[in-house]
Amino acid sequence: MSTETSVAVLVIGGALVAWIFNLVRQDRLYVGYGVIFGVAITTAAVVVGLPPILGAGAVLRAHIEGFIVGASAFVVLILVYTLSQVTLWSNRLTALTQELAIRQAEPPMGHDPAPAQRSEPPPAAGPFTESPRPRPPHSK
Amino acid sequence: MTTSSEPTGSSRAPSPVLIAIPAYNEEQTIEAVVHAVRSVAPRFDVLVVDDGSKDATGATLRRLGVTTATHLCNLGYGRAVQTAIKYADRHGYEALITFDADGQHRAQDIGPLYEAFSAGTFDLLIGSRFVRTRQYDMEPLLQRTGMKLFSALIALLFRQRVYDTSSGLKVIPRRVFGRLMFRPFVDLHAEAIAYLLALGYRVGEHPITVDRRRHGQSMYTMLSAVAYPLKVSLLMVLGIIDARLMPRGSREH
Repeated sequence: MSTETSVAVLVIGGALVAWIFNLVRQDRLYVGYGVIFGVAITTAAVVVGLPPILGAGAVLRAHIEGFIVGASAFVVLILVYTLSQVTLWSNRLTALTQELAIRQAEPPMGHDPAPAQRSEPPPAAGPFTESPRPRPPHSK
Repeated sequence: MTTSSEPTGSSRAPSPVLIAIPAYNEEQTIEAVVHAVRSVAPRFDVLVVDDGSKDATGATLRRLGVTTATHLCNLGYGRAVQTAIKYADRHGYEALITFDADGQHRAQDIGPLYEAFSAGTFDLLIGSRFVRTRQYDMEPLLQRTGMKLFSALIALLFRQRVYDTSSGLKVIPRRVFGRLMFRPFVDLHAEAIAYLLALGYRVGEHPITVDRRRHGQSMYTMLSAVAYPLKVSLLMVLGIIDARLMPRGSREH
């Protein structure tokens, strides 16, 4: 592998890791996937990309071509995209599960909810929903 | 005909504080934990988050009549705590105290912990096993290594030592609910502490005593020994980047 290809491997690897970590930061990729990809890509980029640069990649040079690097990056890209979609669906299911749990848990008698103090935005009025009305005290 | 606007339920004054107990397969301990918490903190409301338990935890909670938010499937400790935060936020509680269901925490520590929180100016107060003794020797090797690693990492990044980064006994005030409700966290321990510190919030520790686990299994296993520190470290770094990227005005409370 030429020095140019090695540099390309390191740059592509770095860009992929940065993209993956940004997805994790935005909660669009599960952190466990992020760790696996991060470790795997960094290791692969270092093992494949560094020896030629350091002048010790005679064996690798004969076997690995630039297009294999490109194909690998593409496969990783598709894999990350797929897992990112899985994560999004998983997050939606998590939010739904939490919402059901909260709605089903009745507040203790005597506890008056205080929607005005919410740090969450109140539900907006839509075409099929009425504007939120103040709850009578102690209603369920 | 008489009409009355008086409530027909209990005449108890509304509590500003919610004690949340995340529970997963804790049938052996949950009853004693709920009784203990109710007896030492009768003025505080109690919420158990049943995180999809497969054993008799749910049946026990129904029998006890305790307010329970039940996850239909297991979401993990961090998500269970987030459910409690969302519940507390929605019902107007001023503070949330998280308390473990495995029977290791002592309910008697809740009072002094909350008093220390009320007297201080903390945005997160951790019930700490190590802040007084600074001895980790009682912990199993894996946990001990992880605790020391995250404590050192936080000290390095923020120049503040947090001795117990994985305590399940915490006081979380309303002003930080919004910061913790929607972000990805593994279990709201070291990564949440780092995120709040990066946002400029004040995190403190108050000494507590923890008993040895008598039933069930720790959520930290050999399998997670490698993955857990990597996940938490990654989330710590990303949380700090996020906090730094936030506009200055919206960073502090």
